[in-house]
Parts: sequence; C-alpha cells; structure tokens
Amino acid sequence: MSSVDLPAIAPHIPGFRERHASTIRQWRLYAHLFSGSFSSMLGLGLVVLFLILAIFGSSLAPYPEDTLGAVKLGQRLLPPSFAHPFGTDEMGADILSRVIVGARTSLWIGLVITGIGALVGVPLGIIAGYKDGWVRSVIMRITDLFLSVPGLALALSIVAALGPGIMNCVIALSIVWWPGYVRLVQAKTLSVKEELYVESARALGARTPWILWHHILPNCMTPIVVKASMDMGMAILSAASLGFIGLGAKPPQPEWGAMISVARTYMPDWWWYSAFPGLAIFLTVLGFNLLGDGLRDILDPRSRGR
Amino acid sequence: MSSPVTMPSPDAGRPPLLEATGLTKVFLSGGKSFKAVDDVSLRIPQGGVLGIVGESGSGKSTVARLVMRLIEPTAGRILLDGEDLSAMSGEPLRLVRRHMQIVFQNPHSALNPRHTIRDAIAEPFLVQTQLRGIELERRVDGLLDIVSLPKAFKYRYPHELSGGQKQRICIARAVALEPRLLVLDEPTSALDVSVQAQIITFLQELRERLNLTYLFISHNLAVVRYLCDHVIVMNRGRMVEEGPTDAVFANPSEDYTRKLIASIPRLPQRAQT
Repeated sequence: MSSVDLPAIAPHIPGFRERHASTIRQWRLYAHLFSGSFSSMLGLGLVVLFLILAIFGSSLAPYPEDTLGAVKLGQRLLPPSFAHPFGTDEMGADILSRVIVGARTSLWIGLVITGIGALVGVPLGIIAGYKDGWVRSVIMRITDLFLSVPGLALALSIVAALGPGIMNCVIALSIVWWPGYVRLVQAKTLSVKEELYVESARALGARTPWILWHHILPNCMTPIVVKASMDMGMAILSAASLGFIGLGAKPPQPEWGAMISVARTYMPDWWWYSAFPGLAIFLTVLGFNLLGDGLRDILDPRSRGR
Repeated sequence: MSSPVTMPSPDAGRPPLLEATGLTKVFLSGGKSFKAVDDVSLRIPQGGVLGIVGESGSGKSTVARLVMRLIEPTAGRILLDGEDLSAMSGEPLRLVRRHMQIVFQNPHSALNPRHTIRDAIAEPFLVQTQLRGIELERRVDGLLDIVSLPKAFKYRYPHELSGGQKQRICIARAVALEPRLLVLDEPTSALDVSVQAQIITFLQELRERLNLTYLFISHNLAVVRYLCDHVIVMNRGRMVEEGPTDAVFANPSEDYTRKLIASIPRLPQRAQT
C-alpha cells in the first residue's frame, strides 16, 4: 500500500516531561487524593518510619551490641528511663535497640512472604482466569485445597516438619500465602478478559503471552497492589506469631514475636518488656493496613469519578 | 494464493476476497441452545462493500466475529482470498489476521485504558512485524495523519479523547497493517450523530485511498445505502434478503425488509455529498 504517506522527516519525539504529561497528571491526582486522607497519610508515615528503621536500624540503635546478645547483668529489667527509653530485658539489653533492629527482620519477612506469594500466585491466577478447561480446574482445585486449611495452622505444621528458624518460617508462610493471590487475580482476570480491548488484541493476532502481559496484567494491578500492601502487615503478624510460639527467630536474634514470647513470663510486673515489641508489631500492621486502604481508595475506579 | 473454483455470481468479473458459505453458530448456555446465526452465506468482491443490516439481536455482530474467526463457527466455511480460514488455527491463523481487521462498535471499551495512544497504534506492528524504534514511531505518526488526529495525541490516554477520536484510533489500529478486508461492526452506533457523519465520510475516503474491502454491519439503513454496493438483510440469525443495495431498497421483496425500510425516520432530505 504505497498510498500511506510516511512523513519524510524523522518523527519529532518530545522530551520526557511532555511524553509523560498524562501520566504525571494522573500521579498528581493520586498524590492529591491520597494526601487528602488523614488515615492514608498516617499509614504512609508509619510505613516510612519502619522502612527507615529497617534500613538504618543498626546505626540508629543506641546500644548496637545489645542486639547481638550482650549480657549486662548489672542492668537487668530496668524500667523505662532516659538512658533506656523502653527499659531493659532480663539480660540487661536495651529494648529500644532490639525493637529498632527487629524492624529489619520483620519487614524482610513480610516483603519476602508477600513477594513470593504474589510471584507464585499472580501468574497462576492469570493463567487460571484466562484458560478454560482442565488448566483452570487443576489450578483452582489446588488453590481451594490450600485455602480450606487455616493458613497459620498449615504454616505451623510445615515449620514443625522443617524445624524452627526464620528461614523455615518464611518458607512455610510463603507456601500458605500464594493461594490468596490466585483467587483474587483469577476473579479479576475473568472479568478483564471479556473486555473489548482483549478481543481487539486477539483480532490483531496477538499471542496469548502478549495479551496476558500487556492487557490482562496491567488491568489487574490495582487489587494486587492493595492486597500486597495489606498482606505485608498480615505476614509480619503471622511471622511474629510463629516467633511467639518459638518456631521463628531464636533469641538472641532480635525479633518482635520472639521477644514477646520471652517477655510473657515477665508480665505484668515488667510490662515494658512485652509492651514495646507489641507496640511495634501493632504500629507496623496498622501502617500497612491504612496504606492499603488508602491505595484502594485512590486506585479503585468505583471510588473515583473517572 | 490460488483463486478458488466458485460459482458464477453477479460479480463474476471480480474474484471474491471474502466468501463464506453456510455459516452457522449455535450458542449453548444452561443446557439450552440458541442459534444466533443460521446458514448465512456471503461474498465480497475485491474492493467491494457489503452491508449487513437487521435489527438488534439479528446476529449481525456474530457474523462479523465468525468471519474474523474470533469465535468458532458451528458449521460453515470461510475463504479469505481463496484460503480456507475455517480450517486454520494457531500460528497460521494468527499470521493471516493481518489481512483482515475489525473495528468494533464501542470505541470506549476497545482501547486498553492503561495504554497510551502510541501504544495502541504501535501494537499491530509489535505483534505482527519486526518494525521497531524510529521507523515504528514514523508509522505511528503516519497513521495519526491518516485518521486526521494531531501527533500530540500519541502520549495521551484513551479517557482523554472523545468517542469519535477513539474510534479514529481504533480505525488507525485496524488499517495499520494494511489489511485487505476491514470488518466494521456498527462503527458509528456508539457515537454522536455529527461524529457519525464524520466517521462515515472518513471511512468512504479511506476505502478509496487504501483500496480496502469492507464488510459493513449496521442497523442504520441510511448509512448502509450510502456506503454499500451489496446488502444482506438479516432477521433472527437468517438471511432474509440479499442483492445490490439499490435494488433491495427500491424493490424489497420481503415483508421484513419493507418494514425495516419503512422504519427509517424521514427527515427533509438534503443532497448527499
């Protein structure tokens, strides 16, 4: 078809700002909506706070040696004071230092579990949603099988089989975490694949992987992002629960769940020992949940005008 | 491509680009079967325009999707330029799709909301050709020119465009690979009346410019009369009548066609452009 007149000169490709003007406008709108909500900003603030603690924890802790198992029997179980704002534990270690350094362990666990869960669950969900027949049946029945067993109980038995330890705890929780994503993404894919633009891509002769990657996945991202941010909190909580029953991190490694586990024998007289690690768990989980709620509010088209 | 052995037809001089015989589609739902298309046959000569008219639910759009092989026919044969589409699947079917393209009824949902206009127009090249980089940008610019849209639209998202502009983007996507057959499935029915006229005029020009063959599906009889040389009237999945457009409109032989024609709202006529 020679009648298509191609421009003779090279096309003018504008600068980054101009090319992405629409995207920038969209993000500005998101930022505006997000910052308008107090709870979203509180969630973001908490998450950022704990991220900073996780990244710079060892240099922020006032007594870094206490996190490695230093024993200072002279200052056992001191109440909160100026020198030790969160008090000290039965080994004389500064609880504030241990809570700060524990942030890295908890966030790392949360990130890995959520990441593995999403990396396994999202592709399976998309395939299960897009393909009919036995592929979907096999994936969904296995997913149902996992979902029908309470997650924490299953993780518990897996850790019990593998032996206690943070690594095994992460493995066990990842194994129980992916089915949630399969469910979510499969349901979303079922609706997205009926969209006209998917049929249009098929009419162009796009291969299935192309359609899944360019059309289905981007339009499933909103619920995935929301679920992932909420799951961060839940995964941290689950890991702390496993630590609490002694299947996660081993003392003296600073981990919030394990700290509370030891501290419960010192309740209620030495309340600060369990209260501050507990507060850390509470605030992290709250932060990620508020963040997830905020993201849902701005990303869900139904809560937005357009 | 060899030309198939076919019966002589009114257009015997021009070999058919598209020929479908005995197309039938039965949908199964909840144990009940529903015959959406029943034994429809059609042929479009190279460069011709065939219209399919009928009321809502008469199976017009299903015919379009059958011809495009977007849904599997229950029975029937589809030949595109002598090649049997109905026997194809997988990679050969994928590759032959560049020769036939479709413009859907609703441009508001035919474009991925997460893709910019550039992505939408570049997609046909990315999935069917090895064209990349600066040459691809030039082709995208060229297509925006063809559909008379400014280059600045390249980096916009579909929701920033009007319905008519979106439909032009859909048309640009459809003609990007220089198809031989363009199926237009009620391309204007989701648009404002003023925009409808624009798109129809534009489609007419485009056909002459790119030497396209159209299968034009519409319930708008006035548009069909303006655009098509041949017309098929459908009702409840069956062909009621077919023939040259003028003949069908002047002397409808079936009651249904007469009723359809009588239902055109009459307005003071102005000379056609």
